[in-house]
Amino acid sequence: MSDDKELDEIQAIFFEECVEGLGTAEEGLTALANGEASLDVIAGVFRAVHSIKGGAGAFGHNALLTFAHAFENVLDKIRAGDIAATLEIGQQMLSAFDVLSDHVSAAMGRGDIPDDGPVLAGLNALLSDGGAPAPAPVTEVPPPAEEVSADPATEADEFGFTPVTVDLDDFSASLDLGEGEEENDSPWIVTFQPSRAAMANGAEPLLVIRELERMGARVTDADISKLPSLRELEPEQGYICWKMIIDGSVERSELDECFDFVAPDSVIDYHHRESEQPAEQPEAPQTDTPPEAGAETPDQPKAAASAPKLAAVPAAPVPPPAAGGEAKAADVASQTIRIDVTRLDMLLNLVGELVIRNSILNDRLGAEDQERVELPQLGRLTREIQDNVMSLRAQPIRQAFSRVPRIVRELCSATNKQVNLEVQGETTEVDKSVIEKIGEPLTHMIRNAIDHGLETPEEREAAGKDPVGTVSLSAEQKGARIVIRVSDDGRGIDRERVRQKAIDKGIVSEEDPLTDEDIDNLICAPGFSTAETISNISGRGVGMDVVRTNVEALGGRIEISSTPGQGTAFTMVLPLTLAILDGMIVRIDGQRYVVPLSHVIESIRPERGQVKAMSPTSEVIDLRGSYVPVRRVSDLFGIGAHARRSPEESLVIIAESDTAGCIGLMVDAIDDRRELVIKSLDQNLYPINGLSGATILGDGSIALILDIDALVSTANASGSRFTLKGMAA
Amino acid sequence: MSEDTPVVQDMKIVTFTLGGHMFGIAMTSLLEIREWAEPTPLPGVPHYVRGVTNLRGNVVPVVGLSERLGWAPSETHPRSCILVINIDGKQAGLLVDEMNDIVNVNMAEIQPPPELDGADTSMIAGLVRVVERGGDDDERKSDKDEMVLLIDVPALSLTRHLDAAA
Repeated sequence: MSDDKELDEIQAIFFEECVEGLGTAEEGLTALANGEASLDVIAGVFRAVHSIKGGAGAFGHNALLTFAHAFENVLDKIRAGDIAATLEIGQQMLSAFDVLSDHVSAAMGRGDIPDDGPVLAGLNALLSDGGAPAPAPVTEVPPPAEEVSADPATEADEFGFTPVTVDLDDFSASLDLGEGEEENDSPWIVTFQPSRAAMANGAEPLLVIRELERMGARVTDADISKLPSLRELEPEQGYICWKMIIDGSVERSELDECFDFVAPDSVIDYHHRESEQPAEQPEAPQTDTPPEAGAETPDQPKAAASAPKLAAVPAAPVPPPAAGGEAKAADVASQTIRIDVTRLDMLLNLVGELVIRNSILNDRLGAEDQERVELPQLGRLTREIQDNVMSLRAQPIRQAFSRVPRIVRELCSATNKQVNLEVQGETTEVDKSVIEKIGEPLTHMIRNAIDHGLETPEEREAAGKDPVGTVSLSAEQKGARIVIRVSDDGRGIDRERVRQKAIDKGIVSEEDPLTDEDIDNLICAPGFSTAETISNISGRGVGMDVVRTNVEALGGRIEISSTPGQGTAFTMVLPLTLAILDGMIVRIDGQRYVVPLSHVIESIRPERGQVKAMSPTSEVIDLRGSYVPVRRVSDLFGIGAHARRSPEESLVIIAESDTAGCIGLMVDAIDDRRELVIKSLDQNLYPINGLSGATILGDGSIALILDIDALVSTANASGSRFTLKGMAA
Repeated sequence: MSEDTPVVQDMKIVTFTLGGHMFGIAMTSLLEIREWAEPTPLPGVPHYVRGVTNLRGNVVPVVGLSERLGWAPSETHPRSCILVINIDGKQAGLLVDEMNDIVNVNMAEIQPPPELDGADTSMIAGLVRVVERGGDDDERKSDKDEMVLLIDVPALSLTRHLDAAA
């Protein structure tokens, strides 16, 4: 049934929001645990958890709901200052947060519902210490939405709806009257008109009203003036506006909870009778409403009418804690839109084609014609579109990093090691696909660093180190590359042991001459693991192999450097984007290649004697006194006609790699410099060592993009890397 | 073309010649037929991968089918063309000597390749007899039977990461 499908979609959105919410919450709680949390941060965590709780209730994830409820209550107390935000509390909340994440995973069907008994008891203990009783029992939450998304017509009948309206003028008029006070025992006046969106989302107005009645509310008035004639009546539209009176002793938070799951553009207002001030703004800010709500048009005027009121309310000296923050959240929410990534990719591809068309025009038209048809302007515009579309896919890498603190915490307790995690460059923006694929490698690398890399506190002290080990995680953009590094200050790679293990496993043979670098790379060979015992942390012999596979799938590389006794660093070098490159087009043996401009330092026309042979197959160029190896691309690749030009007839492009120094590439000529759309080779073939892709030139022909880093390491290691790959397979 | 009563167990194959032999592939794998154009050579690929070419914005490998099947490399000439095929969602171009026809064959008539010592038939899906109708060529006016070697497209394993299998 399509209702089910719709429900699944809404639930999928809820899960997405959960994941985002967990990220926010973890960040905030980490700040709390480090003693850096401001009230705003705690409020942010509160909102995130509150949203999760809301969705959990709506979708019937009761275990998650119960836990999130307790969690939220503690946060509420912290926010209110009833519980001091000490570091210990922060730690406790972090552990509780881990259970919360497990609950979310369980709700998503990715694991079992965790045993939250002890942690939940801990939270409740906090609550009772804090003094006040835990607010509102869980039962207030509306039932799972499927019950509601049935036939709207029958629903309407059940309600026995009598038609109604809300009078907007009255509503706003009430604004200017007096300042509201939090502590007020006079009865609450509650106004409630469910919107069309509320119905569409499966909110159950009847349940809301029943709930209010349970709390002692009496309906004083049902305004039916908006109710149209039967013929015009739309069953899914909300026409009736209820006015109710509730005893003033009822907590505001209880009212808040009643309306938690009602769509944002519904008219919801409650205030104490005397003050006549709308105690809380319409619930537009509620973040736990699926975004579809905003798409409903018929109620827009009402939503719009209520918006100005936010501004109209004078800043109360002590604003209700939640209101301000939630309004902010609403601002953000209203400016965000969720788009299927495939649609973005489609757009990106089309823009890529547009860029190519542009450069074809560029090639075919003379300068004068270009001016006449205003091609430069078109080109600029195209580039701007391109930049903008590209940026749509960019996300801060924080999303991938946010899971690391938890992994570290868990590993610390599992291994009895003490670890200080340093994170840098979280705001570095990377393509979405990188974030998706980087998670698993990152987890493995962190596990490796803590399980294999770091020593126990005793060992560290014996070695004269700080007993607390350091694991650093950093991300930075370097030219057209993203460099992500995981390093530890542990014992470093035990090369002799690695070599022995590799020999035992038949990955290499006893006679193989291996450099230190080769040995370090053996860690990434499939089936290699040095852990003496297979723990559930690491040591199943798949970890680093997976890391390498994932990184290569992203068109990147992994590099390992290690100093015995001082630590190990794993560096992932990934392309910044999958799409655009500033490149220099060079000609070698009649073929055109692209050198990424970000790697080019200079180009030189060598003078006689400047390029010297070092051996029959290798040359160096004298570059202002320093000797840089020179490679001919046709030699490296073993293709093309071998009419070896003398160096004086060639150009040498000095290119710098991210990791392995400089190299001179001997080319015949430089053709052009331009922006290019990168086409990956593995889309229809497979990645080729030495190439980072291909591009289509203005005339429709293909130029291969050189992977400078791979070329440099090939040149320096004189092919040992290729051999190693063969051995590893 | 040979439009006759479609029978359920019929399949359409496109036939072509390669070094004087008649080959066929299932129409379902064929995407399009293009004129031969020299592709851009690639480094570090098996000898039968002739390079990559631009297929409407896609970078597609071009494979010398003759070499892939173990025959001598095809010489290219004006009638050479590229069969663009789809292998598990990836595209590849096959260099063939000459396009021939599209014919219906009865799947029941397809014979598996007989086992022969030392013969690598792993890329041949089967043998089938087709009646060659007189085409444009004057010298082939009369109908005659001809054996068509059906290519097992996935078995060409063009898009496998060979480096890993090395």
